[in-house]
Amino acid sequence: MLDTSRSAAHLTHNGNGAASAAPFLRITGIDKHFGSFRALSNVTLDVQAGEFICFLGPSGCGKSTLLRIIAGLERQNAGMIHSLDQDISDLPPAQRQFGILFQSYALFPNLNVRENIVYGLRNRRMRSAEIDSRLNELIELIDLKGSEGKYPAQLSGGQQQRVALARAIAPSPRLLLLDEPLSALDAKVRVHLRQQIRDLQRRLGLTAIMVTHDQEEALSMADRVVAMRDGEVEQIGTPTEVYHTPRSLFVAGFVGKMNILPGRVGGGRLSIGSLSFAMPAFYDTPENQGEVIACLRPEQMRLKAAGAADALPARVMQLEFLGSFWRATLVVPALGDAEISVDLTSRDMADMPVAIGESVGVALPEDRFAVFPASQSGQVRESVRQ
Amino acid sequence: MTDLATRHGAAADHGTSFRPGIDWEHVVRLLVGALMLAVALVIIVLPLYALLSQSFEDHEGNFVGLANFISYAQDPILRLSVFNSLWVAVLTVAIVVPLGFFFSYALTRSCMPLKGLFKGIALLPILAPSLLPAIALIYIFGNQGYLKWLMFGHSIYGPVGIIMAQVFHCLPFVVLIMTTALATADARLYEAAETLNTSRWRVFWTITFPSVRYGLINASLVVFTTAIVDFGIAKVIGGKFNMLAIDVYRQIIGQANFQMGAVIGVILLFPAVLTFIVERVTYKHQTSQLTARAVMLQPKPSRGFDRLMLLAVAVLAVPILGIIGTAIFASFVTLWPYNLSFSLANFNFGAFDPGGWLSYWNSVEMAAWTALFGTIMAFCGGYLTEKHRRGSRVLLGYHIVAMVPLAVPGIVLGLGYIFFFNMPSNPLNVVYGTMTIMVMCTIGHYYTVPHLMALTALKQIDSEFEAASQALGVSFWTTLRRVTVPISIPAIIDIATFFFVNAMTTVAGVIFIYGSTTKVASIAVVALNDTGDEGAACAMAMMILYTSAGVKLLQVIATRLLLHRQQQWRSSLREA
Ligand SMILES: Nc1ncnc2c1ncn2[C@@H]1O[C@H](COP(=O)(O)OP(=O)(O)O)[C@@H](O)[C@H]1O
Ligand SMILES: [Mg+2]
Repeated sequence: MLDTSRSAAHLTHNGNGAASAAPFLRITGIDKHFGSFRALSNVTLDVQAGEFICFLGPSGCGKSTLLRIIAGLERQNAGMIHSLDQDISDLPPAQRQFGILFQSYALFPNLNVRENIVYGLRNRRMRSAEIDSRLNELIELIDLKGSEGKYPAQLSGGQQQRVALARAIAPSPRLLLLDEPLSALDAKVRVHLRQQIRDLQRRLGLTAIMVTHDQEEALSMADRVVAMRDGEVEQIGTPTEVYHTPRSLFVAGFVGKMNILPGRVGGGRLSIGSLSFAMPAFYDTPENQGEVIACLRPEQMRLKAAGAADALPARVMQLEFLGSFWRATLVVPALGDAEISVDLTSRDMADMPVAIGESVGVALPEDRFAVFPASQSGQVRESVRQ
Repeated sequence: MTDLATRHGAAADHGTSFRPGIDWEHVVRLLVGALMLAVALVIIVLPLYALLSQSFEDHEGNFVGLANFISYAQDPILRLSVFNSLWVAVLTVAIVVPLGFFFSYALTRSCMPLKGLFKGIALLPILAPSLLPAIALIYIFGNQGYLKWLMFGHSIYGPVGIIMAQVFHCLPFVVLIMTTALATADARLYEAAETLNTSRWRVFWTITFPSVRYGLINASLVVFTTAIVDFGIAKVIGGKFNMLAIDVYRQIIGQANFQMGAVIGVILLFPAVLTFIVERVTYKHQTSQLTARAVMLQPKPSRGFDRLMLLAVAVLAVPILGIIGTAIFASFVTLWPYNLSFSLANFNFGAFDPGGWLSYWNSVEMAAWTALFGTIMAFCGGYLTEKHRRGSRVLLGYHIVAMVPLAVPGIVLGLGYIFFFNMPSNPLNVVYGTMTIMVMCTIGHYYTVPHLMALTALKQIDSEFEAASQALGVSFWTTLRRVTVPISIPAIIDIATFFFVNAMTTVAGVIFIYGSTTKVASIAVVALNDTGDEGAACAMAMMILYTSAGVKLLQVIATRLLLHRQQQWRSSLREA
């Protein structure tokens, strides 16, 4: 199909030794101010060739600004950007050879699909036969055969974004940058296009960075997620790392629902209400001493029959039907009368129906606790606000 | 408490009877709509109809078909005027549109300093009657002009002078249209092109130019029409060079050949009708260019480019300021070019013209009435059209009539007024020769733009206000008074200013219908120039400019104060 993208080609040229040492993109100590407002501070990040990275964070946290700095559309106030050991901090956008996809598609309204896609190829003075074959490949790739002559206004949002994608990858960019490419689309189209983009990126071996504020999108697409807050990187990790072992309460709350239980840490033990647990190794750090917040995700707990041996007694206060699962709100006396949410699959519900007001048992997976200093408790609200 | 209780009781009483009574809102809407339509018909459509029918009749009023047009086509002198008007207009377009585009490009796409000042300079000619550049150019390049040597022996009287004055006169139209067109651009398009390694040149031709294409077409057509139908400039600086609008004047005033005048009037309708149609067709394209998600382009500072733009704009500003400066200077000297000592004698209009200062005050009076009644009409009509048009033929008819003046040159409408209001059988002929007819003609002539301004302003007000108050059982006129008008005050002031300034500067619209007691300042400028009192003509033209500028300044200040005072609720309006 499509010839390998330039990023991969570049790597093979470089040989074996050197290429593996230097990451494809190395971002170090990026600062950015708008007037007195600090949009980014000391952002540092490595991106490996062929990776799909997601910048995740609430709106206004500086994701787009970081992406635009990588693209060269914005100039950083401090910090460096290297690509394969070459300093590209001061290169204009055109010379970085990065493709970019915007939320607004930004298709040229006066050019048709074909002309939009080949726009960047013409700039590179390719022969017209070459351009034609490239165009056909791309059209096929984005599934828009037969629409070559249409204008952007005649296409649906999803189709427009696919054309924009084709335009961005047509000149074989070394890196593909996507700024919330899906957030203007309907939920259904969004999920479909999500897969299409990911599929394409894998097949072409593209390195890609995508900005999103949708945690589901980030978790489902990314090889690694960069969680951001107020212009700073909070955590970098695979989706499972970020989800299961968040580094801060903010990240914990942003990537999914969390039960929040006030507790204490002392002598390597975590005590909540009248109970005491072994401290999970990952969170056994010097900061996590004294007053802490312990977190558990609703789907990690299990409901059992009232009085079951390994379960805490609890009472069902609320039941919420959420389609593919149920969310029960329980009060657990042993946890100091804390309210916790527990998710039940439809099968769980069929096996053991529960109703509001009933007494049940709940089993806590103690090794799944995420623990943060109590000083972070303010971050809960922040992460939910999105 | 008791008050509440009784109100509840009353409401309950009403609630029991759902008898379909008279829908007063509907009746009022219909009556006002019909009245507006009737007035619009009288001041716009019937005079045009009278003009058209006149062109198909002979002196005795018998229908003669195309005979008048045929005899026109056989007259070589008149045919020459068509040709002259055409090439002068084409040349004017070819000069002023690129200049205006360049000026606007600098104002919108660079970070040059003093943008406000230079935009003000470019728009200054709007405040002056078109006669002013013509007279000033005579002072500069005329027989005794101080830069006469620059003409290299050519005469300023004729096409050269006409085109130069037209360029001055039309520049603001181009700058207004083009700065609007250039101001809205999607920054993302430029960024996408940049990451695709596109040259500046290609970016211009594939993004910038297509996005302002319709603006350029419209600007060209507006200039073309203005240049073809303009009367004042050709009258003052045209010399023996014949143009269509001058022919109309000669046929009517000189030879009392009304039929031939009507024929030329009909011919003058063509370019404007063409403009009108193209404007309507391109209007939709123009607005659909930007999506809601577009990010506005902000020019980035670039030292070299910004300086270059500043320099170019400054160079372009010199002739504008030179022309106005010359007029100011000439109005204050004793006798150009022999006695350049300071004098206010030129402002003693009574010494040159029996009308004296009366013409000036007539102008002010006419402008004030025009602004008052024109604004009321345009706003009420716009309101009914925008908020209550659905299903109403009367209002649709009104809207169509309100769009007509855009396609009617002032001189043609004025001609129509002679035919229509001079008819002995017309009961309205009592207004002939009064201030009333002048105000009617001026409102009619400039009606379309205020109508559109009102529509635009009202479109921005959420139609759910109306729905909500209807649901609350509040009559539409209460909502109009309590909500819609207060929100629209800036637009209303804008409309009034537009009417006032245009009424001050118009010549062509009123040249046929003024009476001895209703002569206005712009007509006085023509007369003073005819009698060789150029100094006084300059002084009178400057009085018009000072007045328009003063009113414009008042508008800016009033709007600022108002917006400042209403900042609180206006900011919430913008977010909504
Ligand atoms: N050109 C700019 N001028 C001033 N402030 C800006 C500009 N661009 C972004 N910002 C500010 O920087 C912050 C981060 O913006 P952005 O990177 O767009 O956030 P995100 O993409 O994460 O929603 C926001 O508070 C925004 O208002
Ligand atoms: Mg963003």
